[in-house]
This record gives sequence, structure tokens and C-alpha cells, in this order.
Amino acid sequence: MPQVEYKNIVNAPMDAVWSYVSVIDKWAPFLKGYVKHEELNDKESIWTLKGDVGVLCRVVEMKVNITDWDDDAKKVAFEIEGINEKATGGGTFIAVSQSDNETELTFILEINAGGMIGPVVNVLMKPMLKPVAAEMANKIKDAIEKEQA
Amino acid sequence: MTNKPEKWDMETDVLVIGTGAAGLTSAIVAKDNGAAVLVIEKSGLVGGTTSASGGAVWAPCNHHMTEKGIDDSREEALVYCKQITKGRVPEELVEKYIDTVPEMLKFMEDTTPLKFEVATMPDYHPQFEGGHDGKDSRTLGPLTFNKMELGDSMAKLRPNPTMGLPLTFAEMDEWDSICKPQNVDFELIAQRMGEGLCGFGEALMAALYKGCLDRDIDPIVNTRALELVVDDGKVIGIIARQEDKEIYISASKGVILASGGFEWNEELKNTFLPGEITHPNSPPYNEGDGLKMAMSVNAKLGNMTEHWGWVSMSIPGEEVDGRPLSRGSLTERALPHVIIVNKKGKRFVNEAASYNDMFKPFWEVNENTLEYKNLPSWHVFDQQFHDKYAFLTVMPGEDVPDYILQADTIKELAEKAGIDPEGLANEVEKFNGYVEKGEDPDFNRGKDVFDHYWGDADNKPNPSLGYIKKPPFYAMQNYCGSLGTKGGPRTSTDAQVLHMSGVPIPGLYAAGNVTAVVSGPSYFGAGGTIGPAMTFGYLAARHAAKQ
Ligand SMILES: Cc1cc2nc3c(=O)[nH]c(=O)nc-3n(C[C@H](O)[C@H](O)[C@H](O)COP(=O)(O)OP(=O)(O)OC[C@H]3O[C@@H](n4cnc5c(N)ncnc54)[C@H](O)[C@@H]3O)c2cc1C
Repeated sequence: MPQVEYKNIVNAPMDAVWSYVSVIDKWAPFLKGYVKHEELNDKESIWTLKGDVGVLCRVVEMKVNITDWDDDAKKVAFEIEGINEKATGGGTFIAVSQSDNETELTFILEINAGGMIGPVVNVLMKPMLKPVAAEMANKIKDAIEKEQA
Repeated sequence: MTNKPEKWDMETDVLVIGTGAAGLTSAIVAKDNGAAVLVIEKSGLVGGTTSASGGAVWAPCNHHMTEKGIDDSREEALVYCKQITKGRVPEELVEKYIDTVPEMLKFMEDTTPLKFEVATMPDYHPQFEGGHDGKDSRTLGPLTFNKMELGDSMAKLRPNPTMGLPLTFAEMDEWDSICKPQNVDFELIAQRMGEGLCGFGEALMAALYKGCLDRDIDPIVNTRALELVVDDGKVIGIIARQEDKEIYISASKGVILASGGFEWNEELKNTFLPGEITHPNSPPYNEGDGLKMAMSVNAKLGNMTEHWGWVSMSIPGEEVDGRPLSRGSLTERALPHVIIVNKKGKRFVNEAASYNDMFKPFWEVNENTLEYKNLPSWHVFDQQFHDKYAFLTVMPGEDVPDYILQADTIKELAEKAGIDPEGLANEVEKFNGYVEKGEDPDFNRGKDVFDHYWGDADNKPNPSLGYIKKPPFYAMQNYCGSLGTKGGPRTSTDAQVLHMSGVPIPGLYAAGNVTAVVSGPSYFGAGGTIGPAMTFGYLAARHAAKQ
């Protein structure tokens, strides 16, 4: 299963990081290929992404379900299920304070293509996850730091 | 008159325009014949349509056939080809092709990492005199190639969006993958991809690219040839555009046009083709630049109304090179339990015939309304098809996506698609009657060996005919796809571009889809476009290098 973990030090206090990450609308457009998302309720939302799989670009719809929202541990965990593509996965954001003005933000994402050709799609997706996670984490960091400035 | 510059930006002996099969073959051969070579490519990637293709090469009397004990002869091949070209191609060109393709392949295999094996594909009209069926196939398929061998240049190789799996035609046969996609070992394929292997057209182009790199030829990408530089009636170079600047490149021994067809140029299509190509299957850079350059020096043109037809479909949202991806219909139309119908609900073609030739009725026009008779058109299939076979990217039994229309009755399906419901219901009933008898008196589907290759041998009595009766029923709209156009400058047997007067234009050569191709209106067999592209590229390079 293709998986990526990306850590970033954000130059901001943990509360600021956490309050930013908690508002999905703020960072959703930072996800590469983001087209739109629609919140169904507190936990569930439908995401539309236009993403590359190998050389191909496809529009993917998926349901994201927040399984754990822990304000104390500053952790959000979610599950992903493909709507128009056979895929499952999940992810986590964790914020850990490093100092008064430094917070480590970790983003973990894993995704597993299903169906007969799943193994092939996974190979194609694998090299793409890291740059996607990195780009998103860096944009979040920049946005938070800009808010702080 | 001359448009010769005072100063050239680059100088070479042989300049090749385009990096498909024709281009890179000629680059390698020109270099090995002692010429200094430069290759330019309009897009940012090397490989052209060829990289996005199946990579098959049609080659009568090739050495792999001999090694396998397959009989073939020049005479047989000639008799066969003449029935395909229908008197519209100079005979000496066909002869030159048949005489040279074995030698060209041997040379390329001996001097580059490109390797082939015999496939089991029949000629596209195996029933014609001199035709071969799959047992004594003239089609060669490329072996897989490890892209890692390209080093950093790997990123410059055009990937194959629809046929990119690291597989061979032989393995596809072994797994009976046409009718039993579940037999395909996707874990093995994934493992090979992880190791860097590629297959089909991408493998062919990766191997040719490696052959170029080994000779210190690395195509200059993002460089578009625009104009020929002519001095005293001789082509001596070109003007090309790189970003916003124009550069002059001299070619003392010759310019080889290998820039593909004009399937992406609306004006040229409207000028020359008798019908529409709305969904080309090639990368979107083949805009007829080579044709325009040839026309500018009064080249004699031929085969201008033809293209390599490919009925195609489009999955919403799927894009490549920033344009909707067009996926050809191969097994989707030829397996049992599917038909193709027009808006009246009528079949109009042998769905299992070769893609080039079954395309022809799509351009038929109604003499009263001037509308296309058979556009729009649809694939119509039933649950039995979906239970057993793959349709585009949907594997047997998987959830059917919304873009494939579905309904519980044929009439309901017709209404959803915009097909005449009564017409479709009657046609399906008639077709089911043909299935019962195992014969299609309307279009002879499943009569020839060719149709059987793309059918299901387990489906009796006719491998191409299956009832359409198990709900739900499905429909998907077709579009006019194209592997490329195949008309352009006429060429000599040495691939020199001919002037309208019939004599070669000094310094100008052409090979591949930019030319009036050697098969004229039809198609010899799988590999019938790349085989000639490489062969005439080979001939062009040898001739040019000797100047
Ligand atoms: C899905 C698919 C499967 C196919 N399978 C097969 C098969 O198995 N066997 C077969 O024989 N045929 C097959 N074909 C058809 C085959 O790919 C083409 O007919 C063939 O590759 C054409 O080769 P070419 O060298 O003439 O042109 P191309 O491979 O198209 O190369 C032309 C190159 O020239 C470049 N170019 C264009 N204009 C300029 C310019 N002004 N300056 C510089 N560069 C320029 C283009 O960007 C391109 O890279 C298939 C095609 C498709 C789409």
C-alpha cells in the first residue's frame, strides 16, 4: 500500500497550528489537484480531485470520514473511500509542540487502489504521494506563518 | 531565391525532425553511416505517437519468422499488399518496403537494444491471397525494456497512457488476456513496473532512444521546425522555434521530416479529409508542420484523404497532455455480446473487422440531409459481456461507472442514449437470431480468421457473436479517433520527397505518417504503420548520409 509520512516544523505556536488545521476549508485547496469538497456532516465530506495516475490525469471522487478528532492530543485521523475509483486509505495530522513558537506538524497519508488492476495503479501512485504530501504540508506551513506574521 | 541566413545557430549533416519511430530510426542509421546528426522534437518528450502505441511492426520475411520456421516469400507478400493498396500506391514503393524491412530490422536489432519476437496476430485481411493468419504471423512485438538504462534521460521518454504495461504480445496470448482479463498477472506487472520495465510502444521507443544516446544523439526537445531553408532549389536547413526565439539549423546532407501526421490541425483536416476526426489518439503535437514544409517546396502529395481510423471512446475527466484522452475500441467491439449501432439503432459495420477498415462507414453521409449516417454511434452490450470481459478500464464484474449508460431494458437504454428505441429493439432481436445461427449475413462478423483473433474461442459456434439478452444493458458513445493521418508528400524508394514534377527535391526526405504511406487506403496488419515508418526512415538516412 503506497504510504507517505511528511514532517514539517511550523514557526508558530501549537494552538495557532491546531486552529488552522482544524478548519478544513482553509487548507483543502492546497491539496494537489483539488477541485472541490462538500461537507455532508461534521465527520463526512466528499472530495473531488483531478489527479495524475502515471501519465494519466483522472477526476477522482472520494468520501473522507473523520474517525478521530482529538483536541487534546492535537490529532486528526481520517479514512478515505473512493466513489468513482476503487480505492481505500486514510491519513493523520498530528501537531506536537517543540517550543513556544515551533510546532512539528506530521502528515501521514496512505492509499490503496483496489480491483484487479489495483497493484498496477499502486505502483503508479507511489512516487506521486511524497511530492503531493510535501507540497501540501509546505503550503500549510507558509499559510500559518503568514497568518502569524 | 534563398532564405539562407547569414549565420547558422547550429550545423549538422543530417537533421531529423521528430522523435517517433521514423525519426529515431533515421537518426541512428544516419550516424552509423558516417553523418553528424541532430534531432529536434517539438514537444518536451521523446517518443511521439510511437511511444503511445502497441509498438508492433509488420514485417514480411523477417528473420524471426525464419528462425521459427515460418514460411513467407516476397511474392506472397507482394500479392497480399497489392490487394491492400488497391492500385493507389506506386508498386516500386511496396516492393522496396518488402525488400527492406527484414534488413532494417536485422540492422536495428544488431546495433541497438531494440529486440522483437514474433506475435500471433493475423494480417488484417488474412483471407486475401498471400495473407497470413496468426499461426504464421508477420507481426513482431517488442520485448520489454528497462527504462533505467536511459539514466537521467528516462524522464524525457514519453510514457504510454493506454498500452504502457511491461508486457509482451506473447504473454498476452499466453494469458488469453483478450477474453480473460482476470488471467493477467497484475502483481507481476506491478513488480516489473517497480523495476523500471516498460512494454509495447514505450519499450520500442526507449530502446531506440537508448540507441541514440549510445551514439551521443540526444534529441533537442521543445524545438519546433517551422520552415525549410532552401538555396538554389536544395533544402539546406530549417528555421525552428525554441520558446520565443527562432533558430537556424543547417543540414549539409539532408533534412528528414519525421514529424507525424496532421490529425491535430483543424484547418488541414478540414482541407483534406472527407470526415471528422474529433478524438485523435496521438499526442497533440502532430499538427501537420512537416506537411506544410513539404507543401512550401511544391512537394507532390498523395493519400491525403486517408487516416489510420480508430473508433474511440472517452472516459470523462481522463486527460493526457492537457487534452481528453481518447481510448480506442479493440476488444470492446469485437468480443461476443456487443454491437455497434447508429442513432436509428441499426448496425452498419462488421464490428470485429480491422480498426482502419471498420472505421470507413463512420464517415458515410446521408445524401439528403448531409448528416453522417453513423454518427453518433454507440457500443451496446449486455451483462454477459460485463460478466466476462473488460470494457475500457472496467474489469469483469466490477461496479459499472456512471459514464456507461445502463438500463434494464433495451428500449429504456435506447431512450437514455438518444437512439431510436424501436429500431434498437428490432436490431437486437435480429442480431440474436444471427447469434443462434452463428452467422451474420449482414456484415459477416466472425467469418474470418481475423475476427476470431479478437473474439472468444470458448464462445460457440461463432467466437464473435453472442446474445444481447441479459439485463442490465449498457451503452457507451463512440467518437472518431485516429492513430494519425497518413497522407503527405510522395516519396521515392529512397524516401526522398518528390517535387510535383516527380523528381526528388534535393536535401529533403520524409518517413512515417508525414508521408503518403505505403499501404495507401488500408492497413497490412498489426505494425503496418511503424514497420514502414522505420523502414523508410532507414532508407532516408542511408541515402542522406551518402550525399
Ligand atoms: C494507442 C495506439 C496504438 C498503436 N499501435 C500501433 C502498433 O502496434 N503498430 C503500428 O504500426 N502502429 C500503431 N499505432 C500507430 C503508430 O503509433 C503511428 O502510426 C506511428 O507511431 C507514427 O510514427 P511516426 O514516427 O511517423 O510519428 P510519431 O511517432 O507521431 O512522431 C512524430 C514526432 O514528431 C514531433 N513533431 C511534430 N511536429 C514537429 C515539428 N514541427 N518539429 C519537431 N518535431 C515535431 C511530434 O511531437 C512527435 O514526437 C498506434 C497508435 C496509437 C495511438
